[in-house]
Amino acid sequence: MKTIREAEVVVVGAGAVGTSVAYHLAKRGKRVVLVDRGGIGGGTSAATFALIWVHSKEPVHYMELSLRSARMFSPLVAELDADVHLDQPGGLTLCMAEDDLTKAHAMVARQSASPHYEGRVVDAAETHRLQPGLSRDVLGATYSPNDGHIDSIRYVTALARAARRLGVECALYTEVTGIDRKDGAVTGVLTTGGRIAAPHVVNSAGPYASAIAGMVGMDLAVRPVRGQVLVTLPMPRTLRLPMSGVRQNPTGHFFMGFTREEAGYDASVTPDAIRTIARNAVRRVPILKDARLLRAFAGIRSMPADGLPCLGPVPSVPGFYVAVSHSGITLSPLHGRVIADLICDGRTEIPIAPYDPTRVQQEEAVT
Amino acid sequence: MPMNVECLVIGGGPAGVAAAAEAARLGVEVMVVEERKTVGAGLPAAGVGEVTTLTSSLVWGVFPAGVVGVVTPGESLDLAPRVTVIATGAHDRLLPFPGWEHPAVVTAGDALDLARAASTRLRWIVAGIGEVGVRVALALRDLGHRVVTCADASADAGAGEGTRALRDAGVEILAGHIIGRAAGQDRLEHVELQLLSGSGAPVRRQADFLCVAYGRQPVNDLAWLSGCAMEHRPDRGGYVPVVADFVTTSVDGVLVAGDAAGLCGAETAALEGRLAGQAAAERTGRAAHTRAAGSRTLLEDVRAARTRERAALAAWVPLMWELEDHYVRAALAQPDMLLCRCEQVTGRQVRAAVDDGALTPGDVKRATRAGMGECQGRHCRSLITRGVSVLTDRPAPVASPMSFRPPVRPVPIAQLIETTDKR
Repeated sequence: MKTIREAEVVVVGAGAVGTSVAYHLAKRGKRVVLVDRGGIGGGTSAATFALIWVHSKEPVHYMELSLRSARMFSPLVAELDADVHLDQPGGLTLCMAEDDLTKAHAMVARQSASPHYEGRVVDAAETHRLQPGLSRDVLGATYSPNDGHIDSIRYVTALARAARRLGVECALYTEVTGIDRKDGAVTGVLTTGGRIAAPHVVNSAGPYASAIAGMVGMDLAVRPVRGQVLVTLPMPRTLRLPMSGVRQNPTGHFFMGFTREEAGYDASVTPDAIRTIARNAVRRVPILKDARLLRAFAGIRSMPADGLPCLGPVPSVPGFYVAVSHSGITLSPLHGRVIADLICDGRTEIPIAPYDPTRVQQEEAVT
Repeated sequence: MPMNVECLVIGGGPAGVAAAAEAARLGVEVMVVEERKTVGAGLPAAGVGEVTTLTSSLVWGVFPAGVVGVVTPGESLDLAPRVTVIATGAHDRLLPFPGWEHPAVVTAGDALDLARAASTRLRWIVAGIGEVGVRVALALRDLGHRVVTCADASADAGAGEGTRALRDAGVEILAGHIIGRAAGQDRLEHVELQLLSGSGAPVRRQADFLCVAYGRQPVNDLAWLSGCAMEHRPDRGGYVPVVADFVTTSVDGVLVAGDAAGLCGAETAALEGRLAGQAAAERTGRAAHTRAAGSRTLLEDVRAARTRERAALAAWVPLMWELEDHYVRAALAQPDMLLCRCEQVTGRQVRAAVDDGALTPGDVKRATRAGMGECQGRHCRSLITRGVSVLTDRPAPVASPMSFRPPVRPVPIAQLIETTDKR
């Protein structure tokens, strides 16, 4: 295959994680080509609930990683020079039954093992003080000041624009068909548009990461999980805080969702799920009954076998890195930073040992 | 569980009514869903089969396994049709001239609704393409309104009988003229009309409303959502399902008829409806023996009707695309012209998105939010596609049109969550 470009790094996948990785690498002077079989942010990033979520991530080290990333948003977004509707006022997970409250206390107790944890259980009265517009059926909530939300599409678009201005080249609507190696080490990426020579390749292909890893003979157990999300037409500003399951954008649009379904790569929405999501949301925020549904969509999200991020180098394939996680938006600043550290410095001060991408392997196929 | 329906007909216009009547005649149980308050005339009162009609009801989406979601005024209903006939018709086009978002700028269909409901005699300027404009101008006159000026984009306007009738009624005919701008704060103050060629000074006219009759496009959202193979057919008004024998789409059990299959007249719509009704009867096993008798000639009738109408469409459809190209190019060159009214996206923003690397309408949608608003891209989808093709110097339509998502129109949540079986 004809070599059409040369780069220091090829980043596979132009979603929130891939564009962040490309941006961070370009900031450190690397020549980067960003490849995607679609457009910028056209996959999971365009179909996500777009929370920046910390307080209910478990185990504790994963919460700490998420917290570290959540704190990177503000400086990162300041560099992007675009309004991406970043809003980190804290967040709530509502308790609608006694059982939810019991679980909430247990979760907060576990997370409090971390000195950095700021989450707590709040009672009904405080929940209503924190958040206008809630149903009287709400019994309480977990609250943390570290959570927030963002407009994921604006964010990825802005990241890509900033990356391009730093010299990142994009090869869009271009599919990766293989990865070249010499003596085990990565030497280039084969695409439908030609070969791109590069000594480093970053796999940030989200739900398709498994197939990309397979191109270097790596077994990466990341499967697609479907999440359906509803968006309403703009409503008067009501909610102050984003919540797990219901949030309101600065534009007034409510987002409701999501589901977690095993549906392969089928991005269909289903009327039953749409109604269930809407009913659950109305139960929590009664004025949603007066809203009009504008759009229902499903995102195919990446789910590593154990739910934890896959982040780091693959020692058996020199030059190959993985940056894939279920919380792509929340972790995108950190993933970008870590991969840039690893490629530029060979190390990172961020503790990524628990996220070694070689840990999750597909179960042996039963024949 | 979705409710089983033998044959679902979406749309109660000429094609839908003909499909329902024919299928019912052949013994099929039919349900007609119509967004408006009434369906067209022609449904059998009591036939061999049964026709149930759900009016003021919206088919809001098509889901896996062909499940069709309907919201009626009272509840949300999932249907599992053996056969679905998409007879959703066509919608009027709006093009982005300065002032196109003014409330007194209306499409032909809305103009007639407004004229019927009005208690006073209103003054109108009609801007159209040949017969498309002439017909609505005549209809407005017949409803007792005053048409001040009829600006006809066709250079040879004036030859037709309708135009003569308008002229005799004192309507000013401006041949070869298109809308330059519509201006006014609350009320429409004036409309500038200019030659399509751009030469000469624009003329100013005053009226209460400006009716834009710049053509129609097939309503194809449900065909896209059904997964039908689609093709861009400029001669048929835009994207339409790929069909065999006029009404059979690539998806098993999904038929299309009338304008939704490609712009046509009422005659073709009714014939195609009948053909779809027969196909539905055949598919449901109700009419194995009737098909051989009737359908061969019906197929020939549809073919003949489509051929006859081709000439009529050729008189204005190419000009519809030319106007789209004209207005979109102009909008891209101006600082503040909106290309998407709902999300207030300007031509300049679309240009900036393309400069930033957007290659497809979908890229522009994500970068600018064009097409994500209340009209679900009905008006801007084609404009953005045109804009991307102009800016990237590729022939329209460029690859990967903006995706379609349910609901095809905004649906009240209260209606959506109301079901008979509370799941």
